[in-house]
Amino acid sequence: MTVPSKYGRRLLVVDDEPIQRLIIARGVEAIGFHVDGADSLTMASDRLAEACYDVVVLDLSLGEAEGISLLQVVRNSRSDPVVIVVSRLDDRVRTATARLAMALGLRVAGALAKPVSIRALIALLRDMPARIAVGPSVTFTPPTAAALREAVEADEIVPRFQPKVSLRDGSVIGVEALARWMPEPGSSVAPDVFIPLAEQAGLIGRLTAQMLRRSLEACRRWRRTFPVCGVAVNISPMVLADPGLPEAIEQALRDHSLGPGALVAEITESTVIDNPLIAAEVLTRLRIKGVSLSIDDFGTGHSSLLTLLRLPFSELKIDRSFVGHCDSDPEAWKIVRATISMARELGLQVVAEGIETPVVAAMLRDVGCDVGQGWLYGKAMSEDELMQWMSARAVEAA
Amino acid sequence: MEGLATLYGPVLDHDFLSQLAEDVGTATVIEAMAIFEDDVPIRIAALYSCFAEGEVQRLRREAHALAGAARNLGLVRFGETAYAIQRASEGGGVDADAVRDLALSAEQGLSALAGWKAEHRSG
Repeated sequence: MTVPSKYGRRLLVVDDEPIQRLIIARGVEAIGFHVDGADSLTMASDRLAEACYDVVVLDLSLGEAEGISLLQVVRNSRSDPVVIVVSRLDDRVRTATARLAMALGLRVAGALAKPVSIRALIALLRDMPARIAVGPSVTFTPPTAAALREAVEADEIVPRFQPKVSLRDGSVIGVEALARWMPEPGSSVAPDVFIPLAEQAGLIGRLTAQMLRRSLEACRRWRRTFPVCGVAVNISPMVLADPGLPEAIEQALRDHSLGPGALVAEITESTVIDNPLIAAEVLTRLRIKGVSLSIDDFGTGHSSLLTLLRLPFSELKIDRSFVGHCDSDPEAWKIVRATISMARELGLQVVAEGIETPVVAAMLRDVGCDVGQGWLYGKAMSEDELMQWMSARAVEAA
Repeated sequence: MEGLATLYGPVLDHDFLSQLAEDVGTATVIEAMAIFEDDVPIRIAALYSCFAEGEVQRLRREAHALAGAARNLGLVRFGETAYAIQRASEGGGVDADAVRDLALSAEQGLSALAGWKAEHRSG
C-alpha cells in the first residue's frame, strides 16, 4: 500500500553514511521536507514501495552496491520523484548518471559532489523540474506503409512552422517546416515514426516534394508582410541520390515567385548517404544556385564532422540533446561551446535547437550562437498561428 | 606529523565546519560528531583486523566508510589517509605504514573535533 505524505513534501536520502544522511535531513527539514533515510538498495526499494516521495537524493556508492541500480526502481515507483545524484566520484560519473536518469524518463534536478553542500542542495530543491503532465494512456498502434501511402496521396501530411529567432536582437530570421500527420482529429503520428517509414516505403521523395511545395506556398504569403522570413525544409539523405533535385527545387522556387534566399535545405543524416559523390554534387549545385544548406541535428546519428567536411553547408544546427540541459550539464555545455567555436571558425551560421529557458538562450548568445529555436520562442504552429505570432512579436518590438 | 600534513593536508578544515554549522546548526554538527566518535574506533579495529587477515575487500569497505565519514566533518587529513588506503586496497596492496598513518590521523581528528566542540559549546 502506498502511504501519502502527511507532511507536505517528502524526501528520501539513499546513502550508506549515517552522518551524511543526518546532515541532509536536518538541512532540508528546515525548508519543510519530511525526510526518510535508507542505507541500502533493499531499504530504499521498500521505502519507495511504501511511500510517495517528491525527491530522492541518491548516493552512487552504497557499500558494495551501486546506487545507479535504484534508478529503475525510482522510475517504476508511483510517485514520480525528482532525482538528485550525489557522489564522491568525479564529475563525469555524476553527470553521466544524471543523463542516464533523464534517458530513463526521470526528472533530474542536478548532481552534487559529496560532502553535499546544503546550500547547493536547497538551491536545487527550490528549482525542481516540473512534473510532466501525463494524459490518459493510449495504446500506440504503429501506422502501416499502406496507410502512409494513402495519406501522402491524399496530401494529408502538412507542414507546421517553428520560428528561428536571432539571439542577438530577437528578430525572426526564418521558420522551420516540420511535417505533421494527423490521421484523425486529435490523433497524430510522430515524425520520427512516419519519416523512417516513408524512407523504407519509397515515399520520401514524394513527401519531400509535397512539404516543399506547401512550405513555399506559405512562405510566399507571409513574405508579403514579413519579407525577410525564409523557410527551412528537411531533405532526407535518400532524396539526395536524385541528380535532378537542384533543378526541381529551383523550379519550385520560381513557381512561387521566390528567390533562392527564401529557402534553407536542412539535411539530417538519419540514414547513411548511399552515394556520397552524387549527394555532394547535388548539394554543391544547390549552394551554387543560392539555396542555403543546413546540417541538422549536428552531433547525433551520422551528422558528423566528416559530413561537415565533405559537404558545403552554410548553417549548423546543434541538436536539442546537447542544448536542452546545457545549463545543468557541464559536459553538454562544453560540447555546445566547442561546436559553436568550430562552426564560427568554419564561417557557418549556428542555430541552437531545443531552447526552453531564457537562461539557456543568454548562455548561447554570450558564446556567439547566432540563432535559437525552441519552445521558449514558439512551438510548431499552423500558418495562421504563425502569422498571428509574428504580428504580435512585431508589435512588441515596436 | 609534518609528513602527514604534507601528504594529506590539514587536520580540520575550520571553514568547512563553520559553514556546515551555519547551514544545519551547531547542535546537528555536534550530533554528527557523536556518531563519528562512536563509529571510528569500531571501524578502525575492523580495519586492523582485515589488514592482519588480508581481507582486502572488507578493508576497502571500511576505509571507504571512514573516508566518507571524516570528510563529512571537514577532517581532511583523516579522510585523505583513509581514502589512500581505500585506493591502495583496490590495487591489492596496503602497507603497514599507511595503517599506522590512519590511526595517527584519527587521533588528531578526534582531538580537533573535541576542541571545536569545547569552543562552540562554551561560545
